[in-house]
Amino acid sequence: MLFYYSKISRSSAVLALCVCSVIAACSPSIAPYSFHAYQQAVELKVNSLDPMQLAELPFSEQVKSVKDLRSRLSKAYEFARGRPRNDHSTKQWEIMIDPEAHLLGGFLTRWEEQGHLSQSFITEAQSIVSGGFDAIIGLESGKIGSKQGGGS
Amino acid sequence: MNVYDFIDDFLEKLAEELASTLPDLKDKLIVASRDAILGNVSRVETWMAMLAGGQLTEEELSWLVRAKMDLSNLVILENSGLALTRIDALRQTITRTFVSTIMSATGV
Repeated sequence: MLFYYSKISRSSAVLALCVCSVIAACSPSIAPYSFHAYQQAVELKVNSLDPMQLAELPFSEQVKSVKDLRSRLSKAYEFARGRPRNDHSTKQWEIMIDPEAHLLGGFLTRWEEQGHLSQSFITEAQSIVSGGFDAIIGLESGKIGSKQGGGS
Repeated sequence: MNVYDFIDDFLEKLAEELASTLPDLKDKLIVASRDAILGNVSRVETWMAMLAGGQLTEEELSWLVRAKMDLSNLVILENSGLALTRIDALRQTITRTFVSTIMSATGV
């Protein structure tokens, strides 16, 4: 009799565990792959590195192009922020565009404050910012192999 | 000044700055920053040579080192995000296996 009850309770525990696993599997911990997010990051990488090259020229001559770039970067950040469970990408964009930090946002601020920047500095900064975009793109493209559905 | 003297000097200044701005996180941030910089010693050496050659100013060098630390944070976020993606994929595989096992066991 005792053996019978113990068998039932063990089966119930296993079943409960399995049900919990199924429920847990229904809610992914990170946003699924988004082609739009991927494409946006790739385009912004290309469209950011070229204007950086212009930082040797006076900022006053490039105000409009920098304003356009900042606007596109803000849109990318807001898009990332608006997606559920997308904290990692959102934080990446936040660091990338933060005017107080030391990636693209910080570079543009420095250009604005200093008027123009040296070629050596621009080249080194471009390499680092490019790496930053690769990390953003890498996170999004790395989701492709995970077979998650529902990307926007 | 060799590269390690520069890194020590830089971290000391950073610690002073963090002590007033982010005192609670100071120790953790200093460790993370030191790891990030030591992972890029060869790049810092190149920049120090550029500094000696007058191609970079001391302020630009400092900015680039901080940029490397920000880049390290982006890479850490990429790796931890991808780890979550792999965990999600594993959970889906387990679910599929579980469901198919139940179905074959019940003969559905």
